[in-house]
Amino acid sequence: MLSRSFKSLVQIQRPVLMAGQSSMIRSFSSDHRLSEKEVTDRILEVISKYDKCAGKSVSPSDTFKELELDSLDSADILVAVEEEFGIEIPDEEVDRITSVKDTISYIRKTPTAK
Amino acid sequence: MSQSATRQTVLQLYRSMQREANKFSSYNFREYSKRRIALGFRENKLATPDQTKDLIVQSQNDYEMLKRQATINSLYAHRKVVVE
Repeated sequence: MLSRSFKSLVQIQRPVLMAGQSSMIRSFSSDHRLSEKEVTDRILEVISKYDKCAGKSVSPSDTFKELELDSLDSADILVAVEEEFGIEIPDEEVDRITSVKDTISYIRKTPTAK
Repeated sequence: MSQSATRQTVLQLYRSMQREANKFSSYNFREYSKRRIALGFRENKLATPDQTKDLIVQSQNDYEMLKRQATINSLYAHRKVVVE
């Protein structure tokens, strides 16, 4: 009788305990990079908020040139993207980013982006 | 300095200035400097290489000033303005 009630107590408590623990532990080795959809959505939002893009429909396949943005405008956008994801894009990478797609793939392969 | 190298320098300077301007804690300073940087660089888009050389030196000084001011600005408390 006693052992049975003890057993049921353990059984009840255990799942609760496990659930609480698993949400508290975040291993650094785990892969918690942002999903492609989330990155795309957030980047498109940043770009469509940019003055010169207001009223235009921005799609991930566009290049900055197609959106009629010059090099200074794309610099503006990348600074805004840096702020959104809390990162700093190094200069040599910036030269390679010329389209919305490049931006997405850069953020995707940056583990510190959040 | 070759033309592409100049272009590179100018773009880097522009980016670092915009980034620095974002660090102002008070809204008015932040928005003004962002606007002023954007305008100033675009104003001189068609400058000759000689002019550009001087402008780069000038904006490097401005960049240093911006850094100092952003730091000073962050030392003091700010109340949020209504638009924020």
